[in-house]
Amino acid sequence: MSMVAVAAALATSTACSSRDRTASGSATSVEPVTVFAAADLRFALADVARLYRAQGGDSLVLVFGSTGDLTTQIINGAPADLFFAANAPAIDSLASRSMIVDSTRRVYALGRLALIARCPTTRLVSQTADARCPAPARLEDVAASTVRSIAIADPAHAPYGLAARQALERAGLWKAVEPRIVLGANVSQAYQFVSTGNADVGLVALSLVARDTVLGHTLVDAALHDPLRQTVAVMAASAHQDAAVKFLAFLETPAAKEAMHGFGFDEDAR
Amino acid sequence: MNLHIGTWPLALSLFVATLATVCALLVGIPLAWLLARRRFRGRALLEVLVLLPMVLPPTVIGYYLLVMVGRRSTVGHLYETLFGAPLVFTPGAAVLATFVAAAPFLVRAAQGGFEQVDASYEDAARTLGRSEWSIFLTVTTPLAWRGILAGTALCFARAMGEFGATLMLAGNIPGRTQTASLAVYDAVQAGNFTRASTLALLLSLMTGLALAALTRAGRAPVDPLREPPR
Repeated sequence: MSMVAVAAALATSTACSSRDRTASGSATSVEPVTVFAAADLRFALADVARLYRAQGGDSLVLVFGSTGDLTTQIINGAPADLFFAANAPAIDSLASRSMIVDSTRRVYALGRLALIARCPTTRLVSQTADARCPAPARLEDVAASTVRSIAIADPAHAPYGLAARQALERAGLWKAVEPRIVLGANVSQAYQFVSTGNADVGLVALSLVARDTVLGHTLVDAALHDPLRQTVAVMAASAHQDAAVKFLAFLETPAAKEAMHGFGFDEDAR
Repeated sequence: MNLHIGTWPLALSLFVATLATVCALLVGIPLAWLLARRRFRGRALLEVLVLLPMVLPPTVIGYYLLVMVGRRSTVGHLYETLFGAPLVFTPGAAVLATFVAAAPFLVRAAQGGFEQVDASYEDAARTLGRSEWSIFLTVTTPLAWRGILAGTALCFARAMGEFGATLMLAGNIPGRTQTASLAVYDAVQAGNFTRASTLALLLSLMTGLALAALTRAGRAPVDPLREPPR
């Protein structure tokens, strides 16, 4: 039947493209290293991975999601080699199940919250730094009556969502803003709600907006939320532990540190 | 390089949807025939169970599947023992989730097709001494082909668009389980609207073409002697 022919053709094409992937990777590992990473790293880690490959490192498959979602997936057998969480408890819960290589565990960055606002007009072309759409100057401004929607990540499973909620609570604003909160599945979705102009303001990861050429941002006082001790570990079940450790070592190089710094991660994080 | 990153999710979607549709044909046609032609205890219950995935939220389907074939389930454990790796978060899991979500569309339409076949043809075949199996294969199924084809088209189209159940059971891993619909979701989250638009347009085009081809093949032939209805 033609169906079978189609399936066979596809199987062949799929096989071909996976071979292409390997060919473009490095000689050390046959399969690419699968990196599960918190959504706040969507731009930063993609940049670091590019640098890594440019220096002859392995090709990495980056999977982004909320830390909570990714943790659940890893517990249920998702094939992660390396997990960059946005907090420490996620790695703790994996450690308690003996699912990480303990010696590889470390805090790679301290997360910061940033306040952003949508552009009043549609501006799609990249702008010069001084022409960015301004963010509210103070956290209290999100409670203004003109703000109809406030995007944050889902506090139930996203560390940046939890931090945003804590900040609003500790600033005494939560009650006033709660009906106007819109939840993203993870912090990069919350950012996308604002960047597409669909939410008025957002409390998102600094790393997502640090290099944004369109949206300006205001840093939120780190004392208003529990520290986001972003922790990484190599998975015990990984078949590519050596390759994963190599990438972790690359993160310690000046080039990688500088890149992370560019996305708003302080060097003296730990 | 950009090309293969861009086309891989579409190739995977086609692969997953095709496999899921083939499975749906193998399981769905006998099931549709059973529901259309046989009266037995529990038939009403079976009919509801078969159609339920059509109306349940994909997240509920995904959740049930995780409970049923996840690593901590009996089936999942057995699978892992047999094949040495869990089923979840693999392309196979994407096929399973897509099959469960899409097969009811085939069963529903094929059942309608079987119900429209005049039972007297089957009776005639019986008087000629044909076995029930042979009647099913050579009389009933060929007469019900229009319904089966329509069902196949719907099933395939639904399979190409499957999102929720696949996300829960197979995850969203680029180059492994990231189908086109998941890649669109991912691209939108990343703010990569060029990629999202390209994938969305290609997905719409491919699914639309498949639907058009199959519905065209299934259209009733025009009878030149008959006046078109006014």
